[in-house]
Amino acid sequence: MSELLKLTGVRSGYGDAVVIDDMSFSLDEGECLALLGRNGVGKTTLLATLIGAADLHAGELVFRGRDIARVRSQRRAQLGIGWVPQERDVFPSLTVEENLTVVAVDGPWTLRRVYDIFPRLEERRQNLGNQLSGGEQQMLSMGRALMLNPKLLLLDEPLEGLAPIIVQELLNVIRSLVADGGMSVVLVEQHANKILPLAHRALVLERGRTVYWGAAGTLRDEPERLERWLGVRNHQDVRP
Amino acid sequence: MNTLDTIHEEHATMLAIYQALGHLLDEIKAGATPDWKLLATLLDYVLREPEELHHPREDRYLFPMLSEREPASRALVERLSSQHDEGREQMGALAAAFIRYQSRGGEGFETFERTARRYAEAAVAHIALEEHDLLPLARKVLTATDLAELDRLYREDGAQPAGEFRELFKKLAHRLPSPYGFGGRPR
Repeated sequence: MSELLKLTGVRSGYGDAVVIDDMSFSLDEGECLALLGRNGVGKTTLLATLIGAADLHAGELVFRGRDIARVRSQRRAQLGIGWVPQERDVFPSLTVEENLTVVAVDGPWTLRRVYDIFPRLEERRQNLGNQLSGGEQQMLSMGRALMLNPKLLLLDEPLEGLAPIIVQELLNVIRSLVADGGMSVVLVEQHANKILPLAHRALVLERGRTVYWGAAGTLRDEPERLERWLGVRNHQDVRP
Repeated sequence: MNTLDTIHEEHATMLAIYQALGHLLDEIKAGATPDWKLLATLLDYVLREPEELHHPREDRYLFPMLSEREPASRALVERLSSQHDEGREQMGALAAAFIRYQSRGGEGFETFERTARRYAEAAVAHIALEEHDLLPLARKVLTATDLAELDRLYREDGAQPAGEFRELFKKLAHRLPSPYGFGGRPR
């Protein structure tokens, strides 16, 4: 697999404020990265840095062999970075189908393929964005990012606030995307136990700095370190 | 994703299913009209997945391997194995309670609800024991070679039913009413 993304000594934030400091890692094509950390450690800012929505103060940002540090957000999307924001951010006055097709870029992900993985969206294709439930909005947000046919898909807490059965179904979809190997995925999530099994690599942040970078499976088998960094036991929540 | 992760994922899926079942029972109790097709599909998953996919592979491969590698695990394995047997016996009662409830057009809800909740509670306690005791022990004791062998056995044994239950779960997720699933609002 060839290298898709490489960060070297990245320092970024908003205005003069530095949130991410001395960040270096790389991601190969087809790999899934679990980006972990407590609230406020800089996970979303790191994604914002990748899409160009945060200020890059120092360091190198290379995507598909090209330095994108000074490339604008819109151009980064055209180059193949798809983003599913935490807020879901669907267009409320457009129908489901319009939300999906308005951003479409030619490639393996077509409207038919998105409807195949999210049949509910096909049923609701004529409904407006603001008529959807939270789970449907999350599907639409993911479907819209896939219609960009990205090489790199950034998912910011896609499971947050959703019912367990929806969480499991979205995890199934993400797992199939990763297994397909057609794109790399960066998955931000607070619940490590949900995403480490499907990730190849993991990166744990504390106060904007890396405290772990390596194989996801290795981290998965170290509950003590996970508990220390994330403040949670890394086992299944078994409350009915 | 290795076999232990697969088991963990199957647990998470079953817990989500049991939670959805609890919500549906709450709504019917509060006066909602039962969605018979949805209830039947949900119970189909609840009654068949553990028996046709999850438990047989544990009984055939994981339990014997763990017992052999770590003799101290035998008491735990025996307890879990007997819980599989008990669950199998309770399945008949749950299926019968649902058929009675459905065939009488909604009469007998209390019996069905009580049977379903009791079944779900026992199943969740079983999953909790496996999550808290069995899987951490397996991760500690089984070597990389053991895990590779377990992966092979699971893959060769369960590929077809796993695909079938995956499709069934997808149907459920898209049919269950919002906010429990992707479906329409509860009536």
